[in-house]
Amino acid sequence: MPIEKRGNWNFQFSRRNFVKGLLAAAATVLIFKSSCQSNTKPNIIVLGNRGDPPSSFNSMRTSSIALHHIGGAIFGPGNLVMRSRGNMYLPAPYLARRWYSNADFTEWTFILERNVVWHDGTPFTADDVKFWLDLAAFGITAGGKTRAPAYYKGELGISKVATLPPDVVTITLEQPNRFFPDVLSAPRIKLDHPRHLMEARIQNGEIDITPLDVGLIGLGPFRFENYEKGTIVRVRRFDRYFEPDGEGNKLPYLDGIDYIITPDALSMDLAFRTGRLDGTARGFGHYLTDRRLDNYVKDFGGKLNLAQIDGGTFRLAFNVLKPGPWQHPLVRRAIALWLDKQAAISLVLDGFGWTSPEVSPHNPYRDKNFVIWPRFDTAPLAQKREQARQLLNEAGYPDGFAMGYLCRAQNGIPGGQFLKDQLATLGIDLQLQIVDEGEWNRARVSLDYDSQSGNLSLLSTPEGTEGVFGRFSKSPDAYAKHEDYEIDRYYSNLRDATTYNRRIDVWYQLQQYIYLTQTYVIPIAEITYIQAFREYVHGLIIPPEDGHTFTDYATVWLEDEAQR
Amino acid sequence: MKIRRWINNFWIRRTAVFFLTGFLASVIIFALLFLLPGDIVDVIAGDVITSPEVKEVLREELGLNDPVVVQYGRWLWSMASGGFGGESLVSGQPISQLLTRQFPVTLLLAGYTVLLAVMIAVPLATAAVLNRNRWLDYVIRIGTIPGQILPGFWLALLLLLGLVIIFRWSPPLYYTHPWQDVWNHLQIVFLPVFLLTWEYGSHVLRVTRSSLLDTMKQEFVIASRAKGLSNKAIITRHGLRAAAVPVITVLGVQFGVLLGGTIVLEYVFGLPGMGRELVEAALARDIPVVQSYVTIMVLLVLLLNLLLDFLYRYFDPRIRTSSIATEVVLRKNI
Repeated sequence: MPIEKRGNWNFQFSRRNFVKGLLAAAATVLIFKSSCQSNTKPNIIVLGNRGDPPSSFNSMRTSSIALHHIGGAIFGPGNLVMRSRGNMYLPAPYLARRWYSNADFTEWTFILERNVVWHDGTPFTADDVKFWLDLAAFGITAGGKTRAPAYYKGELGISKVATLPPDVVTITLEQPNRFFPDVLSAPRIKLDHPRHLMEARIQNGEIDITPLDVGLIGLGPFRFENYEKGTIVRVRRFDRYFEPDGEGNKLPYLDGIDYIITPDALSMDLAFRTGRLDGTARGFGHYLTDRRLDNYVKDFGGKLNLAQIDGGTFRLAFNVLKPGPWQHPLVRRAIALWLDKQAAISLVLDGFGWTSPEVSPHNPYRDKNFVIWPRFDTAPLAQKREQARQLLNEAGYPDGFAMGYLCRAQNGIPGGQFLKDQLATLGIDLQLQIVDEGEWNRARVSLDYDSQSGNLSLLSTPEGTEGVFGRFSKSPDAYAKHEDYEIDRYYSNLRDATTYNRRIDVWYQLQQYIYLTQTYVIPIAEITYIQAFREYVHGLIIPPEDGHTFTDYATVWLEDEAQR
Repeated sequence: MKIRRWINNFWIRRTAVFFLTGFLASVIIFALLFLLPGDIVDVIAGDVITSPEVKEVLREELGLNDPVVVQYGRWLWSMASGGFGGESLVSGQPISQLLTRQFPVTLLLAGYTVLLAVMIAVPLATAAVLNRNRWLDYVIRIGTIPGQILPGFWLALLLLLGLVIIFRWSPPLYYTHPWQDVWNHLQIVFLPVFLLTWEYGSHVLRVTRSSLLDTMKQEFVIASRAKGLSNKAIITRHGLRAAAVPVITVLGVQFGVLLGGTIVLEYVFGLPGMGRELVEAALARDIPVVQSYVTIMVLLVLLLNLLLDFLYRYFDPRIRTSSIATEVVLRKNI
């Protein structure tokens, strides 16, 4: 029935015309869509990324995997040195082709690669290294404004950087360090501040300038193309990248990488399962869990590449600077003996892990007897628990006590609940103080709690652990809060060690002291992180531990679509 | 006398209240954010060892050591001068730049929802009233129950999982505006808009239905019926307008709830809107971003309330009259 007529246009608004209009609109959209679609898929891998890179992609400010998963492609897998692609525990040449030190290991000289260029075509020089290291080690104060040094300043311990143009850089250290290249090869230490784009702006007062402010110009295998916050970061092959593969072929093999920002792990899973992602994100919370892996396997069968990376430790650490029964070493030891560590793997670590020391079993610094000593007691659990009760009696707490536990809401609740349930049977009332990320980050470096798990990224070298095992006044980030000068002595011995074996021996003694003699920290179990890739993704170099390593994807290639 | 009359002007009074409420809200938000435990410097450093000296210098660099009043003043000045609160402490990006990208996402999401909710809920409510206590009425009413009681994020996860399991389909991963890629846009907003419309529209539908039912009992409806008008004609020509005020009220009141819903769904569906940014900023203690975003949302709701006042007066002449009458009484008292 016509309800409206206007002018000479003989249009009748009817149900039939309405349906026709809808169909026409749908057809237009479909035609538009099909015309927009390309027939060939580019050689670009699509990966999940845990979140937006914080701090304007400034690796001097944050170690967040949300930045470093992308940063590896743009800024490269290393700096002057990198972790060897064949054995991540060895430093390998990257921007420096060789290096040497003076006799007492206080001065290190690096000879740079030639023909390295920044993504904008500017040649890379020794002055670039000095500019970057000066910023990282000393920060800047100018015109009443201050720029903080990099968070890893303490690990580097640099006192001076000098250059001998065009390709020699000499780094003087505050104290001898026989293993400085090991420290420097940490993948979190990225050369991401190009002098030619930043120096003048800093001199003009822009001292808080960041890599994003200068267009993310790096030296890595992929150049930055664009970034849409909350959505995507696109990088494309840098044709003038200097690093060849083992056979002398040019790297990288891919034309580009699209990093999709997927803060929600479930959404990322669904996107992977429906083929919108070629690989999942790195980062705790996004690595696979037992149950999620089941769904992946159900969907793809064996047609998956599952990259396994040894991850962080689930542990219990005590604040012995706060009065309470946990100040007694016997109490701490009793708790260590009481915990059913094997049960933690399924209940806390998503089903992937092993009862563990602090370092991965792949790590050359691991305990030679790690399976039987010191944390992994071979006695049956019942026997250990009996001993635990005796120790608690000896310490004067036969009826148990109450103890607080700083529990991270984001991912610490399963661990907190596990510990609470376990210790309840020993008579210890573990009171969970569940806090969000902001409060957790504040409280973990304070003395406001009784116990915590602690969760920090470490350098995979013994010397790199002082920040988490050292004295509170020296290392506020430490898992356990204590003022034990004996630990200073162990670290001093470590630094003085000039041979590999001596270094390992001191490291074992240190672990025995921390875990057994004093039981400041109880390592319970270590998680295995799993990152999934589709079966047509090849050439992945997966580090045995530390997910920040080899995030450049320079050696990755995709099978032709026809072969998939 | 003139000033008093000016003060008593409804619109001037409402505008003044609008700005005063906005200012007070910003002060309260700022104070609350400062009461929150946690330090952004620790959040920025993340899970790495950072010396206290470096953290202190970083605090200085970010201006966190300035007195609270100075920090608030800086933020307020930036808001007033169009900078929308300065820069994000976490990403370092200007908040105005973040808003340029994120505000349209949230606005589109909310806009689609309001539009669809009205377009679907009002006809369905009319149909329910016309078929009162018959099967169609029951079906419509039952259909609104999940929208009102089930949490949006749970339904979202269920829907996503269902689509993957049954159709092997999931929404696109990156958001585009409709003017960039309309097909991609439609695919990515379809599910969140569907869920939000279900939730928001359910409230609108139930209120419209009950308001219409009340209207249908009024004398003018009986008179219309006596004139020989059909029920359909009475509802569409007279009833809907008479029932509009409660519907407009619920549209306004539920808008705040709708914004809350978008926050959760933006996160689940990976939409780069204001809600998702707000959640991430709050967790990271990125105070300028949280402060600016919450204040903008408060201002949006206040603005909507102002608009509703206008619409009340349009739809119900009695409100206009009573307001004028009130003003006349006030003047007499003067």
